[in-house]
Amino acid sequence: MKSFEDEEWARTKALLRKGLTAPRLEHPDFVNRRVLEEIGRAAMPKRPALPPLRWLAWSGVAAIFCAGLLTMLFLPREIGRRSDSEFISQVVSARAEMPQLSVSEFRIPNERGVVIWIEGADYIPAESSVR
Amino acid sequence: MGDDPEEARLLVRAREGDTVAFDSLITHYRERIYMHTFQIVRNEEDALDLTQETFIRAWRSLPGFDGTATLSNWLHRIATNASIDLCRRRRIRPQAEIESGSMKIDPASRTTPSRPEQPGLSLDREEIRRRVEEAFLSLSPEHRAVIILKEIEDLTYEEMARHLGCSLGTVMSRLFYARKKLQTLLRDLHEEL
Repeated sequence: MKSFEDEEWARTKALLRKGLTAPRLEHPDFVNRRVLEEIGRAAMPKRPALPPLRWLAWSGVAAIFCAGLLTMLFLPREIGRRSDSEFISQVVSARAEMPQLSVSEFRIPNERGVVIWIEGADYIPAESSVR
Repeated sequence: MGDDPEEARLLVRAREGDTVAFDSLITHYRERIYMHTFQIVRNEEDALDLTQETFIRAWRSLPGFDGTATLSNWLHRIATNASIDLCRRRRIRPQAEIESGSMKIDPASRTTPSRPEQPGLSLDREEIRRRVEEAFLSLSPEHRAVIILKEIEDLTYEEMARHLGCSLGTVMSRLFYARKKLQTLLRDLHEEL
């Protein structure tokens, strides 16, 4: 004779069998395809995680070359302009009779201009001379 | 196809790396594995993913398959473990269990209805199905697995222990608590049978 518990469980089991149904697989071939694709992918030789050292070295050389090329191509260059050295004034002579004075004479090559630059004096005394 | 020589032949070829043979094995078992995983996770998309995962895991483990279990049992075991893993990862703990929180089952107790009985109120088939599914999903993944293996797929305790890779005592204990909980949750539906 079945116990109360057994009868209870028999009813619950009947409910489970009634309620826990499973649908059919809708696209069965999809499973095969996906599994075989995955297997195929796994079978392919894997690329090493880190590139070889030689590859790294060549990459470095190429990167430096590219950087140089880009610098040459794109840094602003003013073609046809005269050399900057032509505009650099030269200190031709500097001499002052007063020690606190600093006097410089600049002469631009091939030009006729001369600049005399005096520092350290609020005024130029009449008796002072600069050569 | 358990002791089927054709299956054995396909298995040998598959173990040697023949994907065509393995494709035939997939075709033979895919429906059953899908339904098995669906029973545990109760979600079609997850069941489909788990079916694929089962066969992929099987392919990888084929060299170690010693043939002590049948291919069917072996595949079902992989499917069960994958389903339990997924449930654990997802923490599929449906409302019933979360809300009841500390719902403890006293092993010595007799089952009691979880809701007051409502004579005269007949539930329709869909409502019964929904309630059963809800109650089932409130179980832990391990408890769901033992219920499916025992009550739906009619495995013996020994087969279940081998299938789940645990002791006979663990299987019986899980089954006991799972049954108790289901009885508690579904007691009020008994009148609907």
